[in-house]
Amino acid sequence: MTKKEQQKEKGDKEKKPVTTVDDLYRHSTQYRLWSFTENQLKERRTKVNVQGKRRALKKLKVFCERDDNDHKFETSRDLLQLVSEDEELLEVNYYVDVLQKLSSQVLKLPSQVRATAVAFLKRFYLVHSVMEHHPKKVLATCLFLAAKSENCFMAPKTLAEYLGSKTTPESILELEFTLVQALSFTMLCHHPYRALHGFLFDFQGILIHRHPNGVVVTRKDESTGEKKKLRIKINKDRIMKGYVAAREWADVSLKGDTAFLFTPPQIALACFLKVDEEMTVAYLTYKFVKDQHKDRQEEGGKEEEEEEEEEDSDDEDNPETKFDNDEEKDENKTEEEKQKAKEVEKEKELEKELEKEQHIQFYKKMIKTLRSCIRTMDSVRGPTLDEAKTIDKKVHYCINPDKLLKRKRQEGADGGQHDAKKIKLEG
Amino acid sequence: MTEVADSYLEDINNDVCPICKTDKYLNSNMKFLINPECYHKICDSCVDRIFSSGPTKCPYQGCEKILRKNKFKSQIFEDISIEKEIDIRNSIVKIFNKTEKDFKTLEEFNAYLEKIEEIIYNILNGVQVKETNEYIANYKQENSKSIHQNNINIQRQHDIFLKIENKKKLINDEKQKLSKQLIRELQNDKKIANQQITNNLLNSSLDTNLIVENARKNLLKQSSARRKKYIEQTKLLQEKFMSQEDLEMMNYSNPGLPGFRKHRLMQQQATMMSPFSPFNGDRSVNLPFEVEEEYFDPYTSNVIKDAQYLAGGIRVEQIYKKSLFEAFFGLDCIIKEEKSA
Amino acid sequence: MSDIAANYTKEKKVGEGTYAVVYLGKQVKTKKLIAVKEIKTGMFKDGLDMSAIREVKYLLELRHENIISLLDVYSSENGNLNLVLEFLPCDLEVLIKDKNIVFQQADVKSWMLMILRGVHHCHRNYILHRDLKPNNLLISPTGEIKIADFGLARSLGSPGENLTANVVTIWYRAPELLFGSRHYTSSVDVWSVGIIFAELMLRTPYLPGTSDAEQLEVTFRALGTPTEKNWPNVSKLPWYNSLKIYPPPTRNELKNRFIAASGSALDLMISLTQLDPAKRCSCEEALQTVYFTEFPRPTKPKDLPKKSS
Repeated sequence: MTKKEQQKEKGDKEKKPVTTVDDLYRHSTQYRLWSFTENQLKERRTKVNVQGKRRALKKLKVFCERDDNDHKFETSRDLLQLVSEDEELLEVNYYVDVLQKLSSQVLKLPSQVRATAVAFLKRFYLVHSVMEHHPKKVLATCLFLAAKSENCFMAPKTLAEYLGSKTTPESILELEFTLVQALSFTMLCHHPYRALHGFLFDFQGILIHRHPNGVVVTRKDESTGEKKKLRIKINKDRIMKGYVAAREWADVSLKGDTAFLFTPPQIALACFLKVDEEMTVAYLTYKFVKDQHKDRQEEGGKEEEEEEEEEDSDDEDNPETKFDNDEEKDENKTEEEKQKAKEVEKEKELEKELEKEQHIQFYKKMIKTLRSCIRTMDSVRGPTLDEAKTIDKKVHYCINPDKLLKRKRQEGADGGQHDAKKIKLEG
Repeated sequence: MTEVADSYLEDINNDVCPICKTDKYLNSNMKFLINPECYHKICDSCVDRIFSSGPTKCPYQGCEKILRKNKFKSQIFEDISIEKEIDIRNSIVKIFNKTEKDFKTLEEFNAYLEKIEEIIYNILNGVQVKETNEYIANYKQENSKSIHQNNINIQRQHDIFLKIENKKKLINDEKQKLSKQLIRELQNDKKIANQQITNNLLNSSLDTNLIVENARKNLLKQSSARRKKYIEQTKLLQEKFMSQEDLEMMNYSNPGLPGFRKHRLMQQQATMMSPFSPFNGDRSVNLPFEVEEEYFDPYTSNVIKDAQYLAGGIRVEQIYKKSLFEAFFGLDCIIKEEKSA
Repeated sequence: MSDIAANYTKEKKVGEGTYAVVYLGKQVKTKKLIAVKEIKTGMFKDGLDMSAIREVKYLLELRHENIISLLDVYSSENGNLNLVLEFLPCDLEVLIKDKNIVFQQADVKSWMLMILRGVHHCHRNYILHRDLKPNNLLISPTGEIKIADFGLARSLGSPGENLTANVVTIWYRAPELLFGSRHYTSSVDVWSVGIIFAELMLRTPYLPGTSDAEQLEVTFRALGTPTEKNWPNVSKLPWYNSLKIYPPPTRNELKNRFIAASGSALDLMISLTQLDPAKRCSCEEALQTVYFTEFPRPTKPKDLPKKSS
């Protein structure tokens, strides 16, 4: 798209009226600026990594030129170990973890502040490389800004005290503007917690209030592997249990790229799906397919639809909604009228079939998205302790190449022990 | 130039004539007059002094207009621009005096009214003055007969209107007289009745209660008779003063100024206009969820019963609605599809 | 950062508030007029000023034709935050005070329509403005109302949270705020809109109190003192005390107060200024009242009265 086209579309989007709740979401900065496809994320990270590498090398060069000890850039260059794209990701994930633990266990901040701080940290590193700013420093500022933004203000002094000797109020404030700029000044984040709470309600609404006689679920018999349909009642305790467990998974979803690839309601439902698949599938089926039908005569135990298993089979049992009742009434009408009535009935049936088809498609798509979300959540990998240490050291030297060279100088002075130490350093 | 104008304004605001500097405070009979040529305020004694011997230039510095004494009048409206507009309107309407009857369709009449407004606007704001004046002169020439006729009609109607108003006033006066009379009579009756009661109590041997009861009944009869008479008399009044012709005239709607008519026409038009959306098409009408009355929720159950929350206007339905809203806020946005552009 | 700053010029200072200075300027490329709000730093010793953060945060989320547009943000050489906003030469307060303009019923209706649309957009995003007043309702050259100054705005948050009662300029402050409530809703904005409606009709502030304490007195003298009967739980609010009991005005009294108001205008006004926030209508409900569809139709924005001279 050309810039002009882009701008026009931007202008149009601004003026487009909102007709659904989803449209309203599409107007949010989280959707507009901070939602990506996997490819887009990768592209960004590659770009950021190249930018970081360049910066680190430049710093080294500048230092070499200024330094009296006659360190040549060309020779020193090999010493400097640059951080790769994957390593960057691991490093960020590591500090996201640190941030989460800090904010929940040490600072005891509300989930909203925690999640916003993490979002800031992750977003920051889509714009800057770890080789430009050390995550240890950035996370303090993220906490500070998130607390301010979410009406939970913490003074820099207080925060610095919690975070240890290396963090000072000045270092927190120093990075504030850089952070805000990297975020493009967007600070309103949407997290899965409130959506989870909403589903706590809607699950009750659909599974208990709407269907007091219970819902139909499909269970696999462990021994025979056969799929059986049975009607069960889902009570509020089960929903509550699911909610509490899902909330833990919501914390996990903050790590990795889940928040960039999926929307908060999707993440919330994915968490529910993970902790209680049977209940969540029942909810989805009833909410998006069965309850959408106009004739809800389901209570009498008539034959009902079955939900989709999207990957394995195409055994889509089409629903057998019956229209028996209406046909008997026609007996007293004339032949012509009967014919017309039949035609109208047929059209109506067709429409209903089409509608049903749409609902099923929507349901399938939703399940697919949710499973994909679960996969993303599961695939998040933090570094092992050793990896973390190695990468961290690399980062440190990339940001402060002068320290690396000073160390080398020291080793040179030590003479013979040099090689042994070098091996140890790079191990 | 502007300094002078400012000083004039200051004077007027302080109730001082800018020409002779007489202060209203000292001379309480002083009145400001204005002339429709230039609308400059001058006190009545200055007008007398300067213009009695014939038309001459306006004494305001910079104003070159020649003014006549008989054109001076008191300002009616506080806002001079309204005064100007009314004067212009009055003079235009004397020329452009067609009524709805003179047009075949409503649209034509409306167009005519629009034209009048345009002319008034132009003169008021000094827009296209020459063309407008030419247009007026032309119209005057072409329609001189109908203008004259219409003016006569309007005058006639106005006279009839005044006549009817007079008659109405007479009727009202008579009515007032009759009602005053009624009140007097009723009071008198009461007095007499009371006297009779006293008399009877002293002189007759009848039971006291009976006496009072009888007197009361009589009084009631009397008063109702009087009231009946009053009503009949008032009815007759109308017949006495107004002829059949007058009654017909009364029902005939008063033509009034063209502006008023236009207002009513616009009223009719408004109802025929396209439907109006207060949200401008920008509203989520069908929510993807329903809010039930009650949900099991340990996180808010104690909060919502707290008087502090209730007093602040917080209701549990809103809390439910908000959470449900967040649950569907972007549920159907499949980023993978939507962002791959 | 400096390269963004180069896209805009600051030409004339047009206003100054407690935490920002506003300049008139141009967007260099398009020559379009813009306003630059420079946030004074050093006011807030702990980094970026809270109001600045709020303004930027919410303006970026709420894009609507009746809310001011934030075009860009940059920092100047002295480290101050600069918000580039669309240029809006006039505000509603100026128009109300301008004695040379006459307000028609249709004009008042048009302004109310735009104000309610803007506030509705905030509320459906669960954001409270908390500083609505004629001074913050700017007017574009084409007559559109744009809500500005989100320095006190806030997301509605979770029910357990404590909010501050010290928001909204006192003349436009809802009674629950005057009573120190720390758990309130978007109804506080609706009250402000109601007071603005009154001011549009009266051409003078409706409830001008000279202090926090006096504001209560002024408000209740005009609209009656709330009691447990007409506002359950009011006596439990923090700053509630035994006040002088004024009777609520009758409909006739209100009619005489707002002579120019039609029956449905009066109904809307009453709905918007209900003492009990639970009884106050929402923006959505207000927009659906018959006031907006009955005659006269709201004036088109471009035909609305403009500042004289």
